[in-house]
Amino acid sequence: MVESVVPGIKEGLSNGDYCLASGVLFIVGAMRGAIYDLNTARVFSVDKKACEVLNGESGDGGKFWEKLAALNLATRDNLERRSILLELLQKPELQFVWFEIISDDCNESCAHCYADSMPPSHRKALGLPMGGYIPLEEAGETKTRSSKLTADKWKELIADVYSLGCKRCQFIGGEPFVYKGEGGESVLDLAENAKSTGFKFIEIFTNATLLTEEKIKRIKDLGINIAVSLYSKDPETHDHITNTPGSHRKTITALQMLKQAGIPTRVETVLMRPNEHAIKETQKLVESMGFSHKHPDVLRPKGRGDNPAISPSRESVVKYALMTSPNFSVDKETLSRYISGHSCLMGKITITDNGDILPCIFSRNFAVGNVQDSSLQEVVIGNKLETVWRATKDQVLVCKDCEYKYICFDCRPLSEGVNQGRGDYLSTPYPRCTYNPYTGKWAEGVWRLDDEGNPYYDETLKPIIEEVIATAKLESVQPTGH
Amino acid sequence: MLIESLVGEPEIVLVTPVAGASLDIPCNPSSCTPNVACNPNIFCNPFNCAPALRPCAPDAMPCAPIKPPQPPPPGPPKPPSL
Repeated sequence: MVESVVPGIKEGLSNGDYCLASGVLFIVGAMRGAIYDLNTARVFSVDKKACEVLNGESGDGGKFWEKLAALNLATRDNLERRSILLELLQKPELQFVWFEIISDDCNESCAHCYADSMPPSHRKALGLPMGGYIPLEEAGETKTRSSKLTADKWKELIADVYSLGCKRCQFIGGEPFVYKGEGGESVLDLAENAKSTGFKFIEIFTNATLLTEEKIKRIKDLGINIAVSLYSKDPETHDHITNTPGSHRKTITALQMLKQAGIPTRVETVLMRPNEHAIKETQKLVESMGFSHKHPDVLRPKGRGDNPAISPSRESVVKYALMTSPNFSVDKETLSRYISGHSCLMGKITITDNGDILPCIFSRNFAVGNVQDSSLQEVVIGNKLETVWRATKDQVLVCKDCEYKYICFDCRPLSEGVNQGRGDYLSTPYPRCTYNPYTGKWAEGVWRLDDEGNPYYDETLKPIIEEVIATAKLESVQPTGH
Repeated sequence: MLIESLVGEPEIVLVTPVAGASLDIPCNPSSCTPNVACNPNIFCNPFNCAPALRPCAPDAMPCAPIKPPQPPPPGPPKPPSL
């Protein structure tokens, strides 16, 4: 056996006659195991007996090794004993930044907004303080400053981010087209600055209602991408979610203009109770308009989204969010990322308009630093961020005992949000998986934390899972590892 | 989702969608245009010809661009000809 640089993965296992082929990895779970075949992208599940054979704990495994050889997973060849994992391990580096240039203000007031953004007039009418969704007096370390970054500071940060090797960014809010710097700068001025700095991928996430022909021409000239939220095909539903009459019409009109201008645009839909009844029709509308989109993103309980009244129904959660059967594949680039750090968070930061640095735009109460207190580089190379970036599923409760942990996606703010503050940010179990690694069974429940922070397999969803599967309501394209 | 039962005991089962894991159609990353994996049906896979691994997430995150094939590293300098 090759000594593995990743403790949970075994390479080069041998029974004397055969050994695992180069690029074939064995991962032991609590009950079963998995074989990742990097040569063909295949993933196999093996039972306890097979695990014993592979580990050399059973002398009765010759035929099994022959079968592995027939599947090109094992060979009799005398292989050079080198670790492929050593080549795959990577050092986390800054790869993507969300520039949240305006956290509080938006021209809409969406029911689920993670940043609690809204028009200033709404904030005033509700008696809410300016300065974000966590009142400063309650925030402690999580919201370190109330003063906003200036446009010059944003330009300085854009240069700093680029100098750290990052060439991809997104401008987001609030509504980024509401942003106005002290010298009258717009989001497009900042995007132009990023472009001239050298960024290769620039995207603006917007509700698109403030786009004009003039702005669209400039977006086109700058060669930047646009992402737009559309919540429903149905104007009433969309306007109900945005709390803004006429917003659907404006967004649709802008989308048509973007399409006509040939601007790369993706349209995304967050699934929640108010729009779940027509989610398929909404996605069909998006497709008919010629836009790309993702699998509907199920509401994260963050900001105003942390509201049971708008949480999607349990049936929708099962249909659109849960992994109910194994559906994995493996490639070197993904495995490299997943063994080196967090599958999603590694290499990413959000900078909010008061300078807070968050590991994810949804991790609103977890600042790892503030650019008004220290330099960006200090935060990026600091221990707090490194701890987050380097956190693999080996740190996640339950997942750490699963044989698919190095090929399965993870979302920390979702895990934290669903468990409502119980448990630790980096270790709360992933709530969208129905696999029980301790029994080897799927689709009987989901993992949650109890009040003491201990994981338990919540089987209350089981009847709905069974019903959805039995009636073939499950989407044909399931989320994989998400 | 197709799980192909391959052998008896000890048990080994394929948990990769078979069409995506085929050896018959080798993936050629150079034939994939950047970010094509972000188009329908939208999986963040660095090699979009290979089976999708994970949806883009979270909502606001664009898919990773696909790296173009890298040229082979330069070899040692040739000795000057005599």
